[in-house]
Amino acid sequence: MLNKRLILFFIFIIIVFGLLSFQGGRKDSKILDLPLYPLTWLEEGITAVYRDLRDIFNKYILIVGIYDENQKLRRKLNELQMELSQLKEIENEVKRLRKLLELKSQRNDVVAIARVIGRDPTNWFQVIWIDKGSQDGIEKDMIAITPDGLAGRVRKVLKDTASIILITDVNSSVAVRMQNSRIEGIIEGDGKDTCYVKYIPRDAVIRVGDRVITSGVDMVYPRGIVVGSVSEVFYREGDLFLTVKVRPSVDLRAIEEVVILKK
Amino acid sequence: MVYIVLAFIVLSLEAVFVPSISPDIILVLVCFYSLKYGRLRGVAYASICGFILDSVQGILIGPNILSKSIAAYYIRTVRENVIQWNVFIHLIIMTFLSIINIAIVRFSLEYFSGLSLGHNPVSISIKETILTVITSLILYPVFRPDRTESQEKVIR
Repeated sequence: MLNKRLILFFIFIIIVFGLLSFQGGRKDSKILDLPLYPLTWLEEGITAVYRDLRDIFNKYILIVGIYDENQKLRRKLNELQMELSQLKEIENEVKRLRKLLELKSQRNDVVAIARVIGRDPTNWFQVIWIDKGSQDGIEKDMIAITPDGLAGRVRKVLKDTASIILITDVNSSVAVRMQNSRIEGIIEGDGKDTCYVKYIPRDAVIRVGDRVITSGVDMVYPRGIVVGSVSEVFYREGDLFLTVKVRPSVDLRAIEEVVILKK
Repeated sequence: MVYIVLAFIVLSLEAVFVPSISPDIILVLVCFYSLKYGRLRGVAYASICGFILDSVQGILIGPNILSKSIAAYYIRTVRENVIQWNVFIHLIIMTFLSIINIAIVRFSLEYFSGLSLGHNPVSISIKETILTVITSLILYPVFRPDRTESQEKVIR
């Protein structure tokens, strides 16, 4: 009985290996998309509920707690504080949305503005999920930006959702240029929250704080989009090129909306 | 079915609320399920959860099916050969399985899809392993894998 189980399990492992070999180099399988629909619906629902609860807590509960504490002495001041808190929340949202609209009006290649509904729950990829998909005109390899700069590129598209691979992912490559010195290089993610520019000659003059923008030579990313700023420059003995560390201009951990541009 | 829905909910919550490194809660669930319901059901559940995770990654069908199935099979096999299962043995096994899980997924993705994960910092994998083991420790009193099936029936 024990050997039979082991044999059956080995057969199962061989089948999975066969499946992996069969898929190598082939295009995306539609079967992979099936579990994503309920997952993204759940993510959208949870995000919507969380945002509403967060707004209620910021606007009412905290203030009620303060109101109870200062009830006898500062009644009027607490009412004004409640109103100020509500206005601040609206103001922050308006500022964010205004920036997005300005960005949209400045460019004629905007496809959609989308909200971020989730992130890759595994730790292998720096990927975010948005609430727009093919029915909104989004296609694979379209660019995602924010008013602060470049966020990434569309990787996978479903009917009403899509995933974006961020510039901090190890598999992301962007052709860039130093804005001041005009030196070109390739920027790659480190899998966490920074990027490195490669192929910068050792004699190049690069300063901390120099702006890094897309060069457009890779024919994927439009040129002139801000990527980040140089945070560190160093080289190791024997290396042919400088190592330039770049801090992305977009806070990719707190990103809430993105603008999708045409290819 | 409940456990499959639980897997979806766990992944959704991780996607929304965890902005950085997260524990592999699916691996923890798969191991507890296999300890509770047996090898065959454990491997079946692991295959389904692995398929869901492969979909989320969107690269290949197979890496997570393989890693989670091996984890489910292995932990049940060890359980059957250990008379006194306790939290320390469980944590040691979970540490081992978490490392094996990461290695299998990484090898499969690199070898079969041509992706380069060599530059992925090792610190991420180490942190993930630690968080997974801590999660397993937190959930241990809930699932109580040290109880045998007959003890469970008596308690009910």
